[in-house]
Amino acid sequence: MISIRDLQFRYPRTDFSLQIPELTVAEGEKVAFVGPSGCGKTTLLNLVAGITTADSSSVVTAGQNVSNMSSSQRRDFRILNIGLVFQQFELVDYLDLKSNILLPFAINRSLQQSKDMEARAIGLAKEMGLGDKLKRFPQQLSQGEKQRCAICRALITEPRLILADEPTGNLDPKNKRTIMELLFEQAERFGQTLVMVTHDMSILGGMDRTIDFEQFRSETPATTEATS
Amino acid sequence: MSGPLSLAWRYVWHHKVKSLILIASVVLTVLLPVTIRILLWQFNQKIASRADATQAVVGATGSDLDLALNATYFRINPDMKPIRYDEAKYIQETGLAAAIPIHARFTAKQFHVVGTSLDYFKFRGLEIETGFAFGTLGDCVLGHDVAQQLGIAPGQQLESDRRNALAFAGETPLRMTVAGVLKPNGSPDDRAVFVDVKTTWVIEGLGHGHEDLTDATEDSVQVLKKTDKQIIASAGVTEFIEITDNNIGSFHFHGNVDDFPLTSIIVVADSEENETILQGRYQTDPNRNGRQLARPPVVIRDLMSMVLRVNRFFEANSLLVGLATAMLLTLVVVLSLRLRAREMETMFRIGCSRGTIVWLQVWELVIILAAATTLLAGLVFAVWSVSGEIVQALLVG
Repeated sequence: MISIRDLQFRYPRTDFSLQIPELTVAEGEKVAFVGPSGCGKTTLLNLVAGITTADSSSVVTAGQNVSNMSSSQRRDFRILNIGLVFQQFELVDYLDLKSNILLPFAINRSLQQSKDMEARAIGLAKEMGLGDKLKRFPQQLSQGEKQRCAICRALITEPRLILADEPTGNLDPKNKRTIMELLFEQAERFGQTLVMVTHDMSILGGMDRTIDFEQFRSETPATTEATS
Repeated sequence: MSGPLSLAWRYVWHHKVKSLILIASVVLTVLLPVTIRILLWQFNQKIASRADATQAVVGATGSDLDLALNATYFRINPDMKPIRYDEAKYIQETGLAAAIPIHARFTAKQFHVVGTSLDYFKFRGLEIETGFAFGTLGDCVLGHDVAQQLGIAPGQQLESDRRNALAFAGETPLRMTVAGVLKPNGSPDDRAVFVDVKTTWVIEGLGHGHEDLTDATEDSVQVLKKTDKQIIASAGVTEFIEITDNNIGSFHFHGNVDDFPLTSIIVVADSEENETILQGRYQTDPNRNGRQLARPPVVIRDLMSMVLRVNRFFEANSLLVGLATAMLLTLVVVLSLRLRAREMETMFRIGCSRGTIVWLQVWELVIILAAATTLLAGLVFAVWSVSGEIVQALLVG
């Protein structure tokens, strides 16, 4: 699902650099990225998703080299193939729960919203225990409910890859457990690949593999700069 | 509805207070100068058409504007001096023009009571809708709006207002009988009460009627002194406050009617030449000192040019206010963009193009401006609909 070769990346005017000679994630695999803050975990998620690109490297996601795509191609690729879950949930405050789940359809013409998709959104919300909260706005939801809504939004497009950036970072233990169970369950049911950045060692048990990013950190600046 | 448009609409709807404040800012900034412009236009139209229909007026020297407004809108400036009734006779006798007396000094239920002659109706093209024109002392004819607002019909009565609540001597409220109601004609005449000029003199206290003292003895409370030739009545005599068929014979005027007051005289000249000759006399004849002939069309044109000059400053001010509002709106939009930076970034990360995000902002602005324009159009229409009546009411006072 993900294949990275000779990645050398650094943000302009910073000391940060990331060097990954080789990294692969197989289809349907559940992989955790761990490591101290600032070691490049989120940066790698951005590179895999095509949010950020590195010029002289090969980042192949879902069989396509995102480094060679134009920005509009990367957007379309991202929305069709990748579901993103963020630590801060990042729900849109003026949309109700159902509309937040269906947000990808409102912002990119590659996706066509249909009655089926609306039904799927309602179905997902029910599966996540949000069936009775479809008309509620984010500020009327608990932290756990917000993250469940964000997961629904990531899953609505039926992506092949889910990139979750510390999805349990803002949750209490009970909600953390629930969210992880839901993510694993969904990923397994649809054969999705799950890549998760986390600092929480307690959730690593459910993952197939853990990659420690300490090994990719370099003291010498890399030559490739970020573009987006 | 397209994605960005739908999202923009939801944003505007969700943040109703913010949206309403923005809409109100735009509406008020534009509505105020537009309203002033409409009112000024209506003011100009109304006052100019009324003035054009009143080519010349005669009155006491002083403000020609006060004089023109008295003859056309029955407005009275308390400082305005009256002229004598015989001035109307003089104008008639010159053979240059006809004279229509106007004595507009009193009110009844806050509507102007206009003392005049029946020629006034002919001059203004006023027609009776119900009833008759005033025929006898104490009769009145109501303008259409007066009858409607007061709910009075011919046969009913209307009492004149006391000009000063503390003035108990001289001027007496008179209970007038409504003889007729005029057809509406969209002029200040709709909001006036017309009476014979002599009736206004009765209101002024220059004429009155009281109980017959012929048979009263000298020791009665109504009589101060009685001789074979003269009876001097005391304050105990009952004065009539209403003129009826039974008491009309007792009404009489004290003094020479020729000396009685008029506030203005409408001059109806056969030709412009005659009017100019008459104006020349008022300018040069020493016997006409203290009086003037004013031309309302000229007076009103001067007034309007001054008003429009002042309005230009106002419009420049409105432009600056509009500019300040536009800058504030820009600031609000920029600050809003900053506050929503995370939302925009999330959309971009999920797969939204920067262009779509810009469109989202543009649509929000379009919705706000469209709502403001719609509201503004409605309000402007409402202002336009009532502007004629507002201006009429302002002018008639």
